[in-house]
Amino acid sequence: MAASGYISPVDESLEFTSDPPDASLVARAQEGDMHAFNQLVQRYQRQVYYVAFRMLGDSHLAEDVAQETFLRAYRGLSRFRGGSLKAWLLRIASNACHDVFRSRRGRQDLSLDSLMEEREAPWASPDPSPEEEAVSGELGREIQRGLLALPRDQRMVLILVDVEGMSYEEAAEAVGIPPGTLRSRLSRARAKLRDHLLQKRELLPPSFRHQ
Amino acid sequence: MFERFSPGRHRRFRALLSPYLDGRLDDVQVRRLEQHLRTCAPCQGEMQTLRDTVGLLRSLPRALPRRSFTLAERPAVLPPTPAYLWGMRAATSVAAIALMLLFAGDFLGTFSREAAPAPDSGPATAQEAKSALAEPQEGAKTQEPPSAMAAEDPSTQIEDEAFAQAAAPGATDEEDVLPTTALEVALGGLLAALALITLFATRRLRRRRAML
Repeated sequence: MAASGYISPVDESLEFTSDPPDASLVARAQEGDMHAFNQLVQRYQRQVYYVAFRMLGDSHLAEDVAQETFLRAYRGLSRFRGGSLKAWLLRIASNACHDVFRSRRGRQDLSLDSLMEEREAPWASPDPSPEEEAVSGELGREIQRGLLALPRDQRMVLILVDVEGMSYEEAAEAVGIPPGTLRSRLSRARAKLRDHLLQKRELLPPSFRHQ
Repeated sequence: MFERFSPGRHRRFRALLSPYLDGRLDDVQVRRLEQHLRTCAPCQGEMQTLRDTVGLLRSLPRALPRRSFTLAERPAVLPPTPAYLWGMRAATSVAAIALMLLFAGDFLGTFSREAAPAPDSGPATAQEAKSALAEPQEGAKTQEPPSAMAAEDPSTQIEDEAFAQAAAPGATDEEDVLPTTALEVALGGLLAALALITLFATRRLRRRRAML
């Protein structure tokens, strides 16, 4: 496991020794079983953190948002009415991200390059694939700048579908919009990001630049 | 070839490119789009760059958190709102809305003076309310000579009837009701709108809380 350096041994045992379905863990957690709740945290913390990281462009803020998400999730667990737990958690994370934006309104924008460079998070793959290597470094930062330049609602759907790999239905549930709306929002977001990247042709891989 | 000269048509096809990449179009749309792409180089270029953009996003390296977010101990859970508190909140809301409606109604002249204090007056204040009610009734009698005079003097009956007709829309029987003016209607409307806004705001807040 590539990420073991960031997860404690206890957490690993939580993650891999047993694999009960979400529903049974949720039921136990709703009865106050902290161990069951922490198993759920283990299961989804990377996704929650990563979505927040891409949404905010800052690893420290993303950690705060992730912690806040699980705290809110614990407090609101009685209100979880089934469906996709991941979508529910990401919806809480999305609201927590919006709270960060609201609290920082009027202050320096989050998209400052210094934030990205100074606070880079650890990455998952010590042996990146050729594709991953292509988007590391300056191109990766440019993609993040492009994401941060998008309107927040478009940024969120783009991150959920293209970065996180969620289905339209699950992403729509996480954002709280119908799948049809998500489809058109995603289409606009992709086109905008593409236009942003085309302004930096020198960074793009040859196949992209070719167009 | 004609398609090349129709920008609107291109726009429509380009809006389909993103769902096309995800396999979210139906067969008819796919057939039409592919047919168009075969003959339209700019749209082909659009699709290719869009596909590359999605590819780049999918191969972004995943950032990992530096720490775990498991909860070490049971966090202080916000105490559930006690039932009586909900009752009190509901009662307060109802009272506030009733008060607003009462004001609005009073301004609009739809409630008589007798109706206003009746519901809440307990045994101790019943007497006061009665005496308070008595005064305006007496006042009303003295202020309304036309009907009394009409009974006594038949010669003034025609004039009195005309007077009564003129007064009829604003006053009923012996009650002294405030005349309705545009300003009062506006004030009443404003209060009613305020009550509605309060209601909607509360509902929105509650929904937001439910969403966390």
